Amino acid sequence: MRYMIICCLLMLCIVGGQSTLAAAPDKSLNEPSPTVMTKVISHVSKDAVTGVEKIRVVFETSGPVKINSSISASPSPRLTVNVKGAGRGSVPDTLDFDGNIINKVSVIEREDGSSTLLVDIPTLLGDGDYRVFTLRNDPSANRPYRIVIDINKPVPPVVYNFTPGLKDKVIAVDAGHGGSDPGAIGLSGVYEKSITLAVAGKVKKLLEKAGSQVIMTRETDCDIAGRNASDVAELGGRTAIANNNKADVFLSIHTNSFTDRTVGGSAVYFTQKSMYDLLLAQSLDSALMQNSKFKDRGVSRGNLYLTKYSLMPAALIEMAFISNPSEEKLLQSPAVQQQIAQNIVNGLECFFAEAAKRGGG
Amino acid sequence: MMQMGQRIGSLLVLIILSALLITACGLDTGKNSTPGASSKPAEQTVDPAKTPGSGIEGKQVVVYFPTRDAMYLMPENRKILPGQDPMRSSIEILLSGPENQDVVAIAPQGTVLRSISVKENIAYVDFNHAIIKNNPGGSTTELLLVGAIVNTLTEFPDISGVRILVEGKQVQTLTGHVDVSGVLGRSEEIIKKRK
Repeated sequence: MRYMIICCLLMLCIVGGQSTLAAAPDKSLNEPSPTVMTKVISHVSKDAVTGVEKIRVVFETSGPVKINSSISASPSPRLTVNVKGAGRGSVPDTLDFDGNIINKVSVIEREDGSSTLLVDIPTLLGDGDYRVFTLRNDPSANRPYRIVIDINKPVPPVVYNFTPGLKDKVIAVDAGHGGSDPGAIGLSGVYEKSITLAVAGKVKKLLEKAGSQVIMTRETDCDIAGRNASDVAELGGRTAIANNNKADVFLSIHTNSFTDRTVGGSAVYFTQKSMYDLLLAQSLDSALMQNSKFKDRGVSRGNLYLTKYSLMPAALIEMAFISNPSEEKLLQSPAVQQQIAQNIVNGLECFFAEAAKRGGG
Repeated sequence: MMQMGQRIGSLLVLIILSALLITACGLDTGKNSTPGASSKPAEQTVDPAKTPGSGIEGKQVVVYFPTRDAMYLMPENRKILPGQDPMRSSIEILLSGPENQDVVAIAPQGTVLRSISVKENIAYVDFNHAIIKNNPGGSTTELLLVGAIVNTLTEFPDISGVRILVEGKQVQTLTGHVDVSGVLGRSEEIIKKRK
């Protein structure tokens, strides 16, 4: 906006006879010239909902182009984007990145006025991890034609040496909310913090019976970091307990809530710190569906504090919706709580069995 | 001495630029907009024709609301009155709820937008304490609320990220699940795909 005014003022000066450069932009507006890349912009952002880090590289072009892209593994992982109809123009032939998601982009101009973008990446990408597309221009918004490359940050290649079975495993179990924070509240007045504590206690008993060492973030109706502590101290207190005890797995147990009281079901959230987080979430989700009173909402990546800042594979279980009156009632039933606890323990057992197969040891 | 042809050429450029300037006025999202923001890095994947502020009128904004089943967000196009600040209006529409029956209101009761400002393509959106105090809780509600705020604001071409404030202060979480401590980027994954 402001730079447009500056441009106009500049042009006024030129009209006043100070420069002979004035004809240049005029000419480019009237005479068609071959399409070229005019600018490259990159931007890293974190998805607010999934927490996935993504880089977007945008090549602006002076006209429309056609693109196609492919991934190759050797000699080193690379995304190749063929750009039909645009030369390299004023864009540099090599663009260096920090290596987090992209190492380097090389721009090669072909003799026919087309170009190729060679995007060197640290690890090979799956089909869902990148997207290449074009956007048409929007003169009313002063936006040019664009080639957009979106790449998700790859899952770090962490390897754990998990053995099968629950014996001697260290499991951190977090009963969601507590103390001054009741969590979600059901229509009949039931507190999330009470349900989560009851189920966490049952999980603890079952795990101990199976030979695991259980670290509870709380065993009573209390705040972890003190009544007047900040929310982040409260959450940080929970991950610190898991991290300091070097737990193998961290589980946070919750009940869900939504404005529409007909919405229900179980859900498991995770943050993709390693491939084990997804495996843990999937193992828990499928186990939770055994003899379940609740429908399956599946596993989702979530930008959640507890699963993000715990150092080990972690999952946040939303057992059911306390905002749904029939689920609220079921969640209070000791038999239903026992079934959920048993399912969680079975899910952990499946996780360790599968994780051991994926190995590293 | 300047030649006549050159002078006419220059005048032509001036006229074109003035036209662009007038067009660009339709994009202005208020006094807090960042200067030179057209070089904004994060592009929108939406149809440019539906981008808020497109064209001289700039009377339409896109606001995100959760689907009834609480699985996704869906955009709703809403008209705003001439002279209203599009960014502020879009958040106020988000707070007051949708018109479309396929989606539901997500903002906790009594939530008020205290202020909104833009610095270096980041929107700083400040709510009153009701967004925490009256929040019904649950990971799903918190994720959808945060996603709706971020996706509504990143509809504006000038906005690449969002920082959520409560009572003027930076917060780490709203109800103890979602990490809102940093700059939050747009989520394409949570948007319901059209069939």
